[in-house]
Amino acid sequence: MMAKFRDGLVGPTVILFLFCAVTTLVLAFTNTATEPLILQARQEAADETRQQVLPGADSFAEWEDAESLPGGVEAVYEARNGTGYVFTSAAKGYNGAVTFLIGVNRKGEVTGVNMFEDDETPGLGARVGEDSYKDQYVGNTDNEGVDKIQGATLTSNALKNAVGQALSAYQVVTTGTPAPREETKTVSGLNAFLIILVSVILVDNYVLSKFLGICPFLGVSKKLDSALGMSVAVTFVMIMATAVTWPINNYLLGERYAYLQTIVFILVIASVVQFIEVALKKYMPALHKALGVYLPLITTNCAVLGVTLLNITESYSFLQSIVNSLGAGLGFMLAMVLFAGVRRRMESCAPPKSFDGIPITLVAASILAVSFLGFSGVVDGLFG
Amino acid sequence: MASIFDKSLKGVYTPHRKNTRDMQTVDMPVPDTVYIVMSQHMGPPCDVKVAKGDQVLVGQILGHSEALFSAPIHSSVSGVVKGIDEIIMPNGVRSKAVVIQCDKEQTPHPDIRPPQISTQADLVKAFYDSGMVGLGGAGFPSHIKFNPKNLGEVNTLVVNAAECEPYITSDYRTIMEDTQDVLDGIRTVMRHLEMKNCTIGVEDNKPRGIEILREAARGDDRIQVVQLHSKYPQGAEKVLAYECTGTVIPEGKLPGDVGLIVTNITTLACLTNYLRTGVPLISKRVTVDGNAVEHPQNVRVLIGTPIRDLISFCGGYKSAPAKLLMGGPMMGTAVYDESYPVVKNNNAILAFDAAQVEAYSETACIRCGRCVRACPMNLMPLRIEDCFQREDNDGLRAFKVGLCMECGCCSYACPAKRQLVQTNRLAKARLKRQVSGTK
Amino acid sequence: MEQNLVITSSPHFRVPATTSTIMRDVLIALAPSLVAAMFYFGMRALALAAVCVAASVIFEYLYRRLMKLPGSVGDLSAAVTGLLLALNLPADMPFFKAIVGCFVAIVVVKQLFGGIGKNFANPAIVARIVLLVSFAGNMTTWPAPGGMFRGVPDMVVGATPLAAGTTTPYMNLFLGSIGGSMGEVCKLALLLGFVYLLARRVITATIPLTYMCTVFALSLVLGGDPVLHLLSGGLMIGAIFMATDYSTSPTTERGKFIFALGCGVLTVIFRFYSNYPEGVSFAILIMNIVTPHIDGLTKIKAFGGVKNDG
Repeated sequence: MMAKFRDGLVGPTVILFLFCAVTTLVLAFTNTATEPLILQARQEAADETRQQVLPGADSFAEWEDAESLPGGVEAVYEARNGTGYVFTSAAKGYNGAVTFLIGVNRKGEVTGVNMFEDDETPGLGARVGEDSYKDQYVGNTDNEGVDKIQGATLTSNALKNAVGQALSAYQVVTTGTPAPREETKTVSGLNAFLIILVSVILVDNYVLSKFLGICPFLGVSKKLDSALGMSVAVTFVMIMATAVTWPINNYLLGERYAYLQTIVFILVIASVVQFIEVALKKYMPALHKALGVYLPLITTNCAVLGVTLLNITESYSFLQSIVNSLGAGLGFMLAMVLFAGVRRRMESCAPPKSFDGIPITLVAASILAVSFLGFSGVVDGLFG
Repeated sequence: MASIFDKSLKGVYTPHRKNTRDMQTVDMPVPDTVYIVMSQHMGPPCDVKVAKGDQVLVGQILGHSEALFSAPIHSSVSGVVKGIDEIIMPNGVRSKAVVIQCDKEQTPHPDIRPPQISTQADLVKAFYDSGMVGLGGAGFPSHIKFNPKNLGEVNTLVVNAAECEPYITSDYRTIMEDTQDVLDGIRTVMRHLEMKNCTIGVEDNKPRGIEILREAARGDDRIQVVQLHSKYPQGAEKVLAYECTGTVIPEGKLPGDVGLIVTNITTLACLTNYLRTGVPLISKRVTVDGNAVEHPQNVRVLIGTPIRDLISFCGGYKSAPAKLLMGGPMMGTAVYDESYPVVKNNNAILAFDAAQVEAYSETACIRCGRCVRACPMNLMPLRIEDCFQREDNDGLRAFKVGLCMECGCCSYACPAKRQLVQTNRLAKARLKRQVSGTK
Repeated sequence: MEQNLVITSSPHFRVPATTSTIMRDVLIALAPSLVAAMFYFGMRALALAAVCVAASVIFEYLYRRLMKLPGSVGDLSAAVTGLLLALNLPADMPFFKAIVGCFVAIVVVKQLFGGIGKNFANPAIVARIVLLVSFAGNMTTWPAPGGMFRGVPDMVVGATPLAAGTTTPYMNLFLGSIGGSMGEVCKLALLLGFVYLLARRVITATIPLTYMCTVFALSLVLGGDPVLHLLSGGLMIGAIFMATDYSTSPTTERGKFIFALGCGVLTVIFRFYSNYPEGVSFAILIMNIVTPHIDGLTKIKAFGGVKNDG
């Protein structure tokens, strides 16, 4: 009886669930105990960063009325000792949004600029973040008069716009008049789906840009038919996992239990894979045999966990998440199919003994990854 | 120069070097000793029918075999059998050879008389008795070629006068010197096999030959002379059939299966000679050329004459020979010893000195695809080589290595000097072993 | 009497062309572009080309030596890769960074996979991309064309016509008095090289013509200026010299056509929609990767071949 329970459809799932439940409880307990300590440490670190752009300030309080802020200004912190404000201002650069921390004093002058987060061209965009350049804004009451850096015009523009936004926000917080509401361009349904698909298949390919799922990518891409089979299986699991994890996260976990995401998602993925394997075995045995050992290996495929987590960080709606996971699977398939051709060609290669096998395959994969860099920015270009 | 609208098959433009083209054929006197090899045809070797010490006469049967693709072998001289040697042929196969000390009398065998033929069966027997094999080099016994199973459907005779290999001019001399014999041979075959038409394919580097043939065939509407591009290998059987008649001989099939018989022009001339005199195939017109030979020329030489004697007859070596070839430079076999004799399916003996012989060292394949552009059979030699190296037998079959006729175009064109023909041969052998191994 | 007769398999003679004569022809075809580079960018161009060629040859020699493989420098392919890479760089590229590029091209992309004929990606293209990503500053600032013998050209930083988006007269684009990498500016020199390669039968016109026509047609359809696109950026040097690399493009003419079509489409997509003003390198590299599939789909039907499993 025990054996039947253990090897049946329900048994393993129940065991897995129990295991995860125990781990979850331990996690929850640890989190509750350490939460206040973590929050305090984070606050102190953030304050320190802000002090860098607003010298003389001590601790900060967040400005509550976020609605009235101009577009691009994500947060305002007022220095408690009245020295001024620090604005978190983001503007579009070369490769997405660039976030700056801009300090403005009581006289409306910029006191400091720090580049907070960016995805800009290494080397080039980073020059905008250098003191010699960005500090040109210090002392200004407007964002004019600073030359763009040649070859980094877009990043320079981002800084200029960010400073402009911060100064407008300064007007808002000091005078109390809300910023004029801009027409925000919302992306409508079908367009949004297309954008997601193009991004995740070409621009941010899971294997070639995010470097997730490398293990099956290397292991299964040797022959075209197994590569295709694996990709189809992965896509299917990704979509199913998204369909289950998205509601769980948005309706059950929410903000409060966000730290449970990882473990819950893994549980879901494992269960989905397990379920699919058994169902396939029963109803489509030929396909099950063809996929063989690759099917349970999908559980450990970090790309699957990746897509479920990234759905949350990107704040996609349910449909958008499904489209995202479909795209992730398709991108995985694209990478696998392309690489299968390269692997076939590499059978005729003669690498040195020390490189034979995985090492030379990784070198080849890196060349494939480099080629996809060309797609960066294609989404913005195609869909405005 | 082929244009892009050319529908003709691919190939390579080799230099022609037809140095001996306009030289009248010279008869070589009887040598001191002849070596008659028992394997001068496609099938198994003949069994020796004489013994040491026997007196033999010209035209006497020395070797005979019941096997299907074999033809009888006759003595080309009169003399005494000095012994039966075992020799290694240039392709590495062992065979017996009857060594005859010639008495220079050239006494004919009493059985020699012109045969009477009135039916196709008679013609086939005549071919057999004459020991005739395809004189283009393949050694396909003629009595089989002219006896197709589907006789009623075989209507077109394609005569191979292309002579696409560089240096060789023996077929051309046949056109010039034995014109009437050629035409008579064509008509004889057409009459007895009830064929409707005949196409003679000649390369356009032989304009005089084309003229002469057209002149000789004038009035006979069934016979036409087709001018071919001077591209190697126009003389290959499948290529010639396609270029002359537009017919494609599919994989695994013979010309007879598509209604054609393809034969060498000299074979037909020899047929006429046999019917006239009754003397079987005992001598050949051979082109002797190459930059190591003093006096290149066309020689009528008795079968079994050692190459050494033949070259001495042509003035000997001008410079020390580094390579001796039996056949043309594209498909010929390298001979390891000049004492090896002339055989039936020999059209040329070429001798090159060290200046013309290059020891080609293979460099890596650069995937330039010139081999693909050169192959008349539309094969892909670089992919075949790749499959061979990776031991991918399914790939070898998929790339149809069995269709390779070893014409040499691929290796000729390869800038990396890769041994593509050799690889193809090895690949074919491997596939054959695989088939016989599992059977 | 023993004779030393050479016994080899047929055929017994070959065409006079060898791998090194083919590579030598490519070098000759690139010479006009090098001269044009010197004309516009001064002696620095020649120096950079020399450094790249020397570095490539040395890397290949050392690699083969250290790995105890037969030397392959004699086939001149390393020199060709070096020169091609140099012609893809701005004339003021620091020598050290160019040498890094040569290392990537020769050792990583070519020799590590087994040497000539065994690489699946064009070495110069990958090296150019790696340099673009690693040293973006150097790779996106182009010295303005000056004259020969001027030493280091003015560091007047000009963007390429594509990036600048301003209208440049076609004649300037054609003759090359514009900003850009050393070899891509003078289209006239490139076309001279193209004609030479065709005459020497090193390449067939399929890939360059198909590639350029596709870009022309597609940029016309998408509302761009087709002549501008044809004459700008690395399209011509890419179509003539990089996309036609034997080892990384398909072997059959039909395959080459598909390959060039793909290159053209991708180039236009990258040029119109992506962040990078120049899409040729990425397009060619992606099509290199697709080439094994193209080869698989464009096998030639054997003459008289029967469709079965042999």
